[in-house]
Amino acid sequence: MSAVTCCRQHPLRPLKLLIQCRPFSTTPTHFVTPRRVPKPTLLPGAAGYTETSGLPLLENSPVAALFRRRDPFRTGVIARKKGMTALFDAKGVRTACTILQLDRCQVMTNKTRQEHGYWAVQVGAGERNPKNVTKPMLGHFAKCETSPKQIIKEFRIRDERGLMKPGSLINANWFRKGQMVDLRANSKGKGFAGGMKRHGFSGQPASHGNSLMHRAMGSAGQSQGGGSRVLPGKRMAGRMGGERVTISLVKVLDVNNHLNTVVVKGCVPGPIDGIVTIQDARLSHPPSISTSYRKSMVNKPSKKTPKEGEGEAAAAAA
Amino acid sequence: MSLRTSLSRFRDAIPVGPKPKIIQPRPPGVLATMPKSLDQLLAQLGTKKAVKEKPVNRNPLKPPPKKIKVYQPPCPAPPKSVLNNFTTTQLKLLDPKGHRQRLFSRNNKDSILPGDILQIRFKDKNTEPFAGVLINIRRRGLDTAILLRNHLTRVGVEMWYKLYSPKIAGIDLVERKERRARRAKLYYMRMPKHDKGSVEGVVARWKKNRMLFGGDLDGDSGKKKAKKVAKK
Repeated sequence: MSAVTCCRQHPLRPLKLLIQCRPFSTTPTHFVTPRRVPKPTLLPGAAGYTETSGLPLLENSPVAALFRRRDPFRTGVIARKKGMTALFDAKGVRTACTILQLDRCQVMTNKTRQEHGYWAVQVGAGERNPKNVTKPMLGHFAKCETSPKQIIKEFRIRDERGLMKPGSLINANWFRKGQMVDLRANSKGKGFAGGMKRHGFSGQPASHGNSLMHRAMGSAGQSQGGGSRVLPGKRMAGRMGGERVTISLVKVLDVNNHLNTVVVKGCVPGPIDGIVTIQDARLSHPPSISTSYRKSMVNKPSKKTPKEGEGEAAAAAA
Repeated sequence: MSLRTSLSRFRDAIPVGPKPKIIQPRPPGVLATMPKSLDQLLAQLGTKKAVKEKPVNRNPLKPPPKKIKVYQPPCPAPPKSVLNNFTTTQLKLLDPKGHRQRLFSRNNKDSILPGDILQIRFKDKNTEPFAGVLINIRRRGLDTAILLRNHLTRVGVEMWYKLYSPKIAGIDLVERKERRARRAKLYYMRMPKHDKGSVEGVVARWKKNRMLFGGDLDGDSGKKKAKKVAKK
């Protein structure tokens, strides 16, 4: 077995088999973060290949940027915030927590590096009356073999190992109790807010001869010495909230497959019934999940004749 | 002349018209189906030939519109009352017999009310029990909490306790308020004029009485006794 025909991630596995299982590998081979990933060097003819190939990758190249991204290995899910409550542990320590519920979260399609320039999994959730769906979207749902979904989101993943079969149903047990996740949601809009509320400015004193100047933002900069202008990016009053907020490294406290809920520690941005996306934390190790468990998680509802190569891929994975 | 009398006069003046005709039901078989248009009606009556409904004209060069397959949802929607479900399951663990729920339940006629003096005992023996006047019940399901106010070394002290916290061993009802408090939050007790001061004396008397009746001060029997008082 020469160096060319074997895969980088799996030196003992021939490249040919990996290519066969590449399009839809329901059983990604492993999720453990490699401690040291070798820097990629592009072969002649590959996308992004330049004259400097063979040398270390240029840091400012798009390929290097893509490589620097620490995307999770697995796709995330779409959930709805159901409200906050608390959990008491055995010692009696109380932890505030938020309940998130998954609603028929299904894999729609995959985005591949070769075709789209990046690896991602498109996931849909909820239900929508087909009457209220445009024809192009109906076509998309039909192609994905899923029911019309209310929400569709994309989740970037590290590489092809995280791609999933379209139509796969993802339940709450996609996550493990105790693992870390990242949460993304739109925060509640606060409207036009002053500097004190929006940026935490300290305002002015309430007394000591102060008059009509208590919550103002104060000076916006120097006069003549500073160029007689307001520097770009000066923090001022304006629209607050209603923007996408990411909370990284949130602990999963509980997972309930019957109610399809994931209970996470602490608060989550957005209103009740707001859409929240959950994905394995970027800054943490992904959960170690056994192959049999992973197989049980990814179940396909519709009956579809297996394509050629899938059986082999499954055999290769097993 | 008032309006009413004038109107009544007017009503009397209306002449009685002919009686409305009673519409006879149509004999069956003449018109089996309701005609949709005049042409159809004529056709049914036999005066005109039946006209077939024409299909909608389409451009023959254009292919007919595609039928898009719509898949059914993979499973029914998950249960909605998630929070309630979570609360009930957790309460089964934290308060299996439902004592504490009943103690503060709105349905319980003899439940603990704001103004009563309570004592809270802890599972940790090193933590001293805390007694005080109940000035607030914050009802939040699993997060339900009570606020007790007392004076320690002549300083007003208020403590929040989570009702279902496993750290709490028991809640004793030391003394009831003579008359029911007329508001839910007794924050006026913070004012020096209305402040009840230390409840130490009341608690000491209660303890002494219990000793007389052979009660166990920190054991479970005391807890049961307090419950009995609440249940009465």
